[in-house]
Formats: sequence, structure tokens, C-alpha cells
Amino acid sequence: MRGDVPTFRELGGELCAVGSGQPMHARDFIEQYGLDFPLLVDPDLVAYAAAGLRRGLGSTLNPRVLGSVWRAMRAGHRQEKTKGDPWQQGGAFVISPDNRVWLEQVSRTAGDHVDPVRLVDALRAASGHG
Amino acid sequence: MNVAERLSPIDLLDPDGRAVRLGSMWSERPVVLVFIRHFG
Repeated sequence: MRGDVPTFRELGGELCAVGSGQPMHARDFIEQYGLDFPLLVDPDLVAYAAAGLRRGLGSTLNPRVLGSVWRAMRAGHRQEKTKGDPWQQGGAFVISPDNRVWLEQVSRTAGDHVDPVRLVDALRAASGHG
Repeated sequence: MNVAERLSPIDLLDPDGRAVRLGSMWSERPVVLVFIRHFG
């Protein structure tokens, strides 16, 4: 999704990421990946809850996810020590200044990511370019 | 109340530990707001 930031900005929008964990985790993340968009942390998961995002063992460990993990490990990827809540699922929203929600995606499981094309289409509509 | 209205008044922390009103992220322009599972 980082690669889509220039497109988001061309459309008059911005990417903002929220993570669980502590500010120091965000600092490390920014440094590690060279991020140049706002990154906030929600240590108490207040915003995650308000957004209706899922949390729990069932959505984190299920056959579909374990299959993805197995494929990633065979490809040589290893999960580093988790910084934040390992049971929390993510999600994505496109919101305009009038608090209108143009896209709402609640991840059902780990690995259930929104299609970036849908984000661009929603942002284009939110920016009045649709 | 929709999800944007619920999220807007919530204060989160920036990487330096300063409080940031979440709604300020879309007060002047549309935002793609992404909740990531965890860092690392």
C-alpha cells in the first residue's frame, strides 16, 4: 500500500496508518520502512474498537491463515517478534472531511487485505474526481 | 453515528508520544485510514 501513496496524493488525499503498540514501535517502523505518511498508535485499542474491527484467536488462527503462513515460510519469510496486539485484526476506511465514509473494510482474518484498487476508486470519489 | 463520527474525537499518539485527534487526519482532505494488525 505504501506504493499507492503518490496516487492517493495525486487525488488530493493522504494515507494515515494506525497501529497497536507503543510510540517507540511506530518510530522503529517508520525508520525501518522509510515511511513519509502519518502513523499513529492506539495502545488501548480504543479506535480499533470504535471502528468495529475484529480481535481474537479465531480470526487470527484458522486454516486459511495457516496456509498463508506455510506458503510464506516456504518462500523464506519469517515473522519477527510481534510488536503490538497479536490477536487484533486490521481494516481500512476512506473518509472525507464531512465524515462521509466512502469505503469500509473490516478484515475477517489475518491476511484479509483490501484491494488497493478499491481504495483508489473510493478516494477518487471522495475527492470529487469520480 | 457512522464509523467516521465515532473515530473523529478519539485521541491517539504520534511516534513522539504526542496526542493527535484522529479526526484531524481528514479535517481538510480525504484520507485512506488503514488499521494495521501490528508492527513487525
